[in-house]
Order: sequence, then C-alpha cells, then structure tokens
Amino acid sequence: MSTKAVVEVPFGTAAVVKLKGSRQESDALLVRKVALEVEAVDAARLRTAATVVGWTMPGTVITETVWTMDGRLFRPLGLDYRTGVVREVEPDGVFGRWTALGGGDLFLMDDLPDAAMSRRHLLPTGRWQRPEIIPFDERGLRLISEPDEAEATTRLARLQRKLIVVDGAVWTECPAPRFIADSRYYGVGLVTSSGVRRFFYDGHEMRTRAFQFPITRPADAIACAILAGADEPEGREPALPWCEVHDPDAVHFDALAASAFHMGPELLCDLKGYVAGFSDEGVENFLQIRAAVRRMHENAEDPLPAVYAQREDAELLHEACGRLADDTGSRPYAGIPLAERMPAWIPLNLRQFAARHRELEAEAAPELGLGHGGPTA
Amino acid sequence: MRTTIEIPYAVAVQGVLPRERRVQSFLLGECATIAAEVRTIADLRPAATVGASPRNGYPETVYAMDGRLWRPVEMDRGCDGRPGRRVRAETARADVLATDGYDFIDWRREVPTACLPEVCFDRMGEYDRDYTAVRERLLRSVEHRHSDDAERRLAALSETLLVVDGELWTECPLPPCLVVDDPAQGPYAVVASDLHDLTVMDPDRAFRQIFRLDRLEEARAWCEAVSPGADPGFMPAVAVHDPGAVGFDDLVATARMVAAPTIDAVGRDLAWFGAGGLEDFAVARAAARRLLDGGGRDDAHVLFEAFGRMADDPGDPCGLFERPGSHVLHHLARFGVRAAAFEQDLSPDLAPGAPAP
Repeated sequence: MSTKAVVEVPFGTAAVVKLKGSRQESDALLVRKVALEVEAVDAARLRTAATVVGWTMPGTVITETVWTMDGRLFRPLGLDYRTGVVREVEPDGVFGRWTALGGGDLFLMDDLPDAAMSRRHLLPTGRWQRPEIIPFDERGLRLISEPDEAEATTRLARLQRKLIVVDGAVWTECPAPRFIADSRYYGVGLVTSSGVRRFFYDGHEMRTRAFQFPITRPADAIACAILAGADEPEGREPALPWCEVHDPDAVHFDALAASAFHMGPELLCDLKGYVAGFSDEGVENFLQIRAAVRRMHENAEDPLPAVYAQREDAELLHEACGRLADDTGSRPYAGIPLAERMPAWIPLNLRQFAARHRELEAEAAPELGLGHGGPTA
Repeated sequence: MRTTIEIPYAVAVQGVLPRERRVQSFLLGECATIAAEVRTIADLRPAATVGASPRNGYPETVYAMDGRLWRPVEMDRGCDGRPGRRVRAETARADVLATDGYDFIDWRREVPTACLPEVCFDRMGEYDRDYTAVRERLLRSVEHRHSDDAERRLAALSETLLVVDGELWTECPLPPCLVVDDPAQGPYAVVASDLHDLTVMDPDRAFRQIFRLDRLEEARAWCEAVSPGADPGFMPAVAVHDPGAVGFDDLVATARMVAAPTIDAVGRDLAWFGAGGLEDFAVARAAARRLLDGGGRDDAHVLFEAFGRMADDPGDPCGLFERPGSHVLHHLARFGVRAAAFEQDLSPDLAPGAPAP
C-alpha cells in the first residue's frame, strides 16, 4: 500500500515568444512550477541494482549507484554531475533549486526525466536544440504561439509516474547505465545513468558511431570494440571500466534497439550525400533504413513514444546496413558524376552494424529492461 | 577531291613559367597538316537561316550536303550584328596563331571539339578554363605533353572540316533550333555555332529545352503551359529552306543535354524524396544511362515522366532532410509537362540530335 506525496517541479512547455525589448521572436521553453502527487515509498523497498564508475560527460568520471524497485531503476535527484556527490532534494525544493541555479538548463545539467522537457526541442536527429529557457511569468513576455497543452498533459502524467519520494527525498526513474564501444578513440567506455541523456541528446559527436551494451554483457562490448578497431595499428584488448552489478535483470536493456535508436538518424545523415550513387538495391536498402528509423522515432498516437521497444525495426535496420555496406554502386558512366564514393569509414561502420546483428541474433529478444523508459513508464 | 591544309591545333601541356616553380596547365598552339575535302558552293544548298536573336547578332545560314549540315568558320563574331571574318584555308594557321593570345576562344567555338585536347574537358563535358593559351617560348620548361589523343583528334578534324571555294567550313555539331531558357521569356532561335556552347560548355544547361526550328508553336504552347500568361518574349526570325535537313528529335536532344546535370542537381537532395520519388530517381538514372549509350525516344520519355513524377513527390515524413530548392522541383515539373502534353503524337524516326557528352 503506497502513500502519496506532493513534489513541486519545474516543467517546460515549448512556445514562440517575444521578449521585452527584443524585436526577435525566439523559440523558448517556458518553465512553470507544477505540483505533482507522486508515490512515496519506503527506502527498504529499493535494492541496489548496480554501482558503476563512468562518464557523466565525456571526460568527467564519477561513481554512481542506481537502485531498483519493481524492475524499474531509480536514483536520487540532486546528483552533482562533476563529483558524484548526492545532495538530496526535498519534495518542495526541486523548483527552488532550479531558480537558485539562475534558471539554467536543468533538464540537461540536472536529472529531471525527459518528460519535463518539451519534445518539440528534440530535433529529428535526436539532438536537444537548446532553446531559451525562461520562466513563464517573466515580465514583458509576449506569446507568439500558444504552448501545446495537450502534449503537456501527456508529459505531466508521465512525469508523475517517473518521480517518487523516498524517505522525504525526491528520486527519479532513470535509464540503465551502459557500455559504449567505439574503439577508434575510446575503447570501451561506460556512461552512467545520469549521463545518458547528456551523452545522447546533447550532441556529443562520439555517440554517432557508438554502440551501446548493457553492463551485464561486457564480452559483447569488448567484441564490438575489437571489431571496430580492427583496422587500427597496435590493436590491444580494450580495458573494461569497473562496475558492480547486483541485479542483472534491472540494468538489462535491448542493446540492438538502443544502438539503432540513437545511431539511426545520424547514420541517415551520413548516408544522405551518397544516395544518388547507390545501386538500385542500395536505394531500396536506404529506403528500408529510413522507414525503420522513422518508425522508431515516431508514433502517431503517442506524442511521447516508448523508446527502445522496437526490436523488429532495429533488426531490419541492421540487416539493411549489412547489405548496403557491400553495395556495388551504380555503374559509373561518362557524363553523369552522380555521388562521390562513400568515405571508407561509412562502409566500415555499416559492416559493424551487420556484424553486431549477426552476433546478437541468436539472443532471444529480451523485453526485460527499461533501458530508457519502458512502455509503462 | 581532297587536299592538304595546315590548321592550328592545340596541345595541352603541364609547364612552368619563368621565375615560378608551380607547374600549371597550358595550351600550346601547334600546326598540323590534315587532309580535307574540297567542294564548291554549288555543292551545298541552304538548309535554314536563323535571324538575329539574343544570342547571335546577325543572321546565319547553315547548308546541307550529303545529309550533313555545314557552315563557314568565322572568327571575331560579335553579338553586335557584325558578321564574322571568313577564314581562308591557306591562312587558317596564321590567322589563329598570329594573335598573341592564340585566339582559341573563337577557334574552339567555331571548329569541332576535336581541335581541343580531351584533358581540357571534365566529366560533364565542360571546358576547363584553367588551360590558358600561351606561346611555348614564354614557358621556362614543359613537364608533360598530352599527346596521346593527337591521332584521333586529327582524324576527326579531317572528317569534319571542308574547304569550300578556298574557305574553311566545318560540320555543324547540331542543327540550329529553338531553345527555351526560361519559359517566361519564350523561345529564341539559336544558330548552329552557338549550340555547341549552349549544349556542351554552358553549366546552366540543366533545365533548358530544345525544340526544332519548325516547331515554334509547340515551343510557345509549352511556355504557356508551364508559366501561363507570361510575355511571349523575343520573336525569333527563322526561315527553314529544307525541313528534312534540319529535322531532329528534339525530345531526345533535350533529354541528352539535360539528363546528366539534372540528375546531378536532384541527386544532392535525394534523401528528402519519399519512397516513390527514390524509385523514380532510379528509373530516371537508368534511362539517362541508356540515353547516353545511344538510347532513343522511349528512354527520353521515361526520363521526363520520371522527373515529372518526382516533382509531385510529397517527400519523406521523417523530417531529417532539407527539401530541395523550389526551382529544382519546378524544373522537374516542367519536364513532366513536356513529356505528357507535347510529344506523344510526333514521329520518332528522325535523327537523334545532340551528341552524347
């Protein structure tokens, strides 16, 4: 039997505004205070799921612990992403903390769930657009477009499910920490749960070719890193970052779907300039990849689609990539330059996609984890 | 009867200027002796006369002989209505090589492409202006001489040059025709000597339309269909003396001219198009390839219809890619209009027109 508690959190809605003294319309995230009635749980119900040493930002390494309850992952709000120190936040203090920061980018720099930020500012490539973030009652503010309230309602409901209060402190549901393999620069890395959003939404360039693996499968990550680094001189076995897993089920997620989801749009943008030079089958494969990426990122009924639930699309995408890597191209003929040849790293990357798929094919599709907000979230 | 003549002939070299270290591309003027046929003006009959137009300042007549079209080589032609200077066969070499800058600009416009080295043309058939004409004695050294195509070029020149009453004549690469750059301005007539520039050298040719000289009404109707209510524009003055000689398949000529540059232009934004649009692109690409391999009217039709369908493509809803420029889509739609409305009833068994680049 659970009890309820009320938290006051900042909540952003997208709108086009004109600020006082400015002639320019700007795309803004209007932030207001909302009170949410969320579940209050006893600390005894949470079990440690994993402790990892990993990145919150490329170059910043902290130790982070995530807890599990009912198969979902949680961690306390108030984590300092530079030191890893947690300063617990009172239920009525979340909004105050945001204002105390001077109205900064709480959504990326801090740990509120995705549902607190507007999806409108998420570009089709998955990048966070960094709008101007202003309080909705800012003086002299003129609304050019009305905020989308229907979308806001959906997000509020989701936010309500994602926040809990544990012994008087606000906790948030979080994605699983994960290995990142891109050996060309980094070998195997580990991204902490609090770093996932910053890593994948904030447009760090490394993510565009980085495969993700659950921390329960270090062997896969190593294999992928070796595969990616096959063309490098002095290939060494990459070192594995330290982590301690207590509850493998809770931190597991569908690696294939997660990688496809984050890499798909970037991959399409990489391929974009070379489509004209593909053979007819290559164009067909490109179409399949594009359709799969679109289905993964769009869901007409739900403005906030459940991420990573699309195992089939991920498989389609990986298979098409494999075929595209060996595309012979359109027969060149005098007079039509068509597109240039793909630079060597694109087919290499496509081949890695295919190889990964072959490796993970045998594994039964695990709908276990909530990598990053499961369907019920 | 054949005779031997001396003609100016350009050779491409990699050379170094005095007081420089950089190796640059140059054209050297040389003299070649080739055999050419000798005829009199009585052997040729006028085929068509094209009057003054925005592109040429004075009327020009082309002549037909043995099923081919010919015209005199003229230097120093201007757009000011002044006729050019005919070139005597015995002074052709001196005429061109006497000027200090080697008047290859006029020369390449006037005589067949074979007078220029093949390395001067890029894959699109466009002339590479890096090759500047220079005298050999002004170079410090010559590093490399592109001479492997010399034999082929001289053989081609020997076939396409003619001596008529002591003057140098050349075969026209294309019959004169009507050309539409911009439907809003209407068709204008282009003489054979300008067509070479227009269909091979000019980078803006991607969306241009070619019509036969005897199809002024059709060209007008096409302009009206794609930009209704526009000013009919310049009135081309055209006299066709021998319709058989200037007949060619203008749809195929247009298709050959525009296929490569248009596919290139569309290919840059290809990722935006929906599944149907991408399939149409594959169809257009295959048709263009067949056209350049010597395909005919069917391929031109397929190409234009595929372009027309691409213009109506709504784009893929994934939102990741930029829409192509609206002018590109407009141009594609115009190809569709031409294929759909104007070309079905006409006889396809005429000469194909423009040569493949």
